[in-house]
Amino acid sequence: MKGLFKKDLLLLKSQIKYIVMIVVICLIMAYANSGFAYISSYLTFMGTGLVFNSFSYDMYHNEMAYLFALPFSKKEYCIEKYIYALTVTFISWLIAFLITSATHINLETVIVQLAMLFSGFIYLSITIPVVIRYGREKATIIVLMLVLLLFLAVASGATSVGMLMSNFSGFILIGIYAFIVLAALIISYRSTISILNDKEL
Amino acid sequence: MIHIDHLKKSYDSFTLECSLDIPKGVITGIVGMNGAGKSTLFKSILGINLIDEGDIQIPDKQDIGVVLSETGLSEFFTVSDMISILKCTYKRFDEDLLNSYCQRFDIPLDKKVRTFSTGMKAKLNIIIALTHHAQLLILDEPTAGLDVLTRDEILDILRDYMEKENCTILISSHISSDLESLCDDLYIIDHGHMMMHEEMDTLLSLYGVLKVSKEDYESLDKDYLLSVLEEPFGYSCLTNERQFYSENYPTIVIEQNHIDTMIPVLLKGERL
Amino acid sequence: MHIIINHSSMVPIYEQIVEAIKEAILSNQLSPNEALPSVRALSKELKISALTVKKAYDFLEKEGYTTTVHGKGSYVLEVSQNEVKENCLRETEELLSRAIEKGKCSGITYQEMQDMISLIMEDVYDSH
Repeated sequence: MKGLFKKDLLLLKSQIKYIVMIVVICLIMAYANSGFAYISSYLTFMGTGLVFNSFSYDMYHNEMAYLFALPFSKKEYCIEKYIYALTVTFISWLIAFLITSATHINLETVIVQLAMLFSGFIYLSITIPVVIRYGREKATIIVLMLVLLLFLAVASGATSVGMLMSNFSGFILIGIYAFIVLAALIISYRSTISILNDKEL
Repeated sequence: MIHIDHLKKSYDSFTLECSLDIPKGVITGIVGMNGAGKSTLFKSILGINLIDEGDIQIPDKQDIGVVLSETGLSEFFTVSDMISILKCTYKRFDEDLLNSYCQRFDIPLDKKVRTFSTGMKAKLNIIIALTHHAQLLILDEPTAGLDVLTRDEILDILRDYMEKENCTILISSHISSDLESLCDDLYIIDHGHMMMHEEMDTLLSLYGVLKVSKEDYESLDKDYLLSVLEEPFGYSCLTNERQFYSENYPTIVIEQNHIDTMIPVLLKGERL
Repeated sequence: MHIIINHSSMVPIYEQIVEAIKEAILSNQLSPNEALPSVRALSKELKISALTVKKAYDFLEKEGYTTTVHGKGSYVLEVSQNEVKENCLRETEELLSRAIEKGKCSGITYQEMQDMISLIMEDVYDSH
């Protein structure tokens, strides 16, 4: 598994220009007083973009097939990818958090930004299995449709859910959300392993 | 080294079915047309894709060196990057050996592999398979798409490795002449099935293709013919007793004993 | 000793190797107790299957030209001049029988054959 980490880290290194650019934009946004929520979500989702780039590299010329000819199992590949995905997304979020917190920090900002992080994780849970199953290009379309559906569902139920949520304190809400994220990640991981085992490379 | 027992893998267009044993210290070749099932077989052996039925036994992947056709480590890496990855991957990775191979073949260490020529990429893929003291090499079309000089170089690299490490090699190709000069043993695969398994020495010394007119064919002793293919001039006949025909029919035309001449008669002809 | 293989020849490759090594031994290019190249090394040099080389080496051992020490390799044996002549005589006899058989098949008479052989002998022995 160490080799897989090395591979993804080296590929990350080669994307350094892209990363620096994102952070710079983030700093500019902070300077321009954009909302902390906006900055947080921006950087978090840019982080997920880096994660999906790593899949692109693995599928460009069917490199994944070769990886499994090396001493890596499909299970190891999955575990490494999830650890990588969560770590990269978390670090992106953390950078945004540190930047926004430099100027302004209170309970509300922390909870809202945590919600952004968890949303990023949910996004990963949905998208990783889809990418493994359908490849990067098709996955983008599928995920777009799913997100649209989700958005519509949330939007239509927003007011009623909103009223329900206002009965609970921020802590409890974020706690529930964390639990949902954990469940989503576990389901996602199991699906990915299953898809990967059946995949024709 | 490799033991395959009744492997079966079905696709829409064909089914791969075979059993074979690759003994230690032998160079085994598998030849077949494009789409015959060579890559499917190799990926099944390596556990890259699931199989429907059967049992496959291979050594630990730490001891296997692999070349797969049309893929490898990401081409966005430089050779130095690949070295860091391989160091963490293979316990017996030999960095000095890889460096010396790269020097020998003028392969730059710090340029992205996607800038390399096809020949250089192919050489690099082989070098990667040879630099962790693997006891088994599984090579899927390592010389595909290469010019004859580069192919020769690669075959020489393999012969060198065989001499030094006395390992086992399983190599596939659709270029029969490459296999003739390297392999001890040959399998011919077609439409997912093994059509023939013979020692290279026997194939080259005892097998032959007879070319006869229709009239001569009538009076020909067919006991030692394996397969017959109708031709414009008459028939091409594959035999595994070339000597018999050259002695009893001194005027008969017996083709050069090359695998490329045998394959059409074997695969397209009628079995006897 | 360098062996050249003719892949287009109807003579099996292992036979060509055997002949080449025999020739080298008989003409002293290979001395007694000298080691033959390893099977893998020779197969690499000639670009052929190792089993073919092994077949040739086994044949040479059977004929008494070499001996194989397990784990070490094959070594040239001392071959007496008598044995060399014996060998040559045997081979010549074989070739002559085959040639005469063939002649007989194509209808050459006893007298014609004798005349032909005398003519050829005169030619060959005279040219020395």
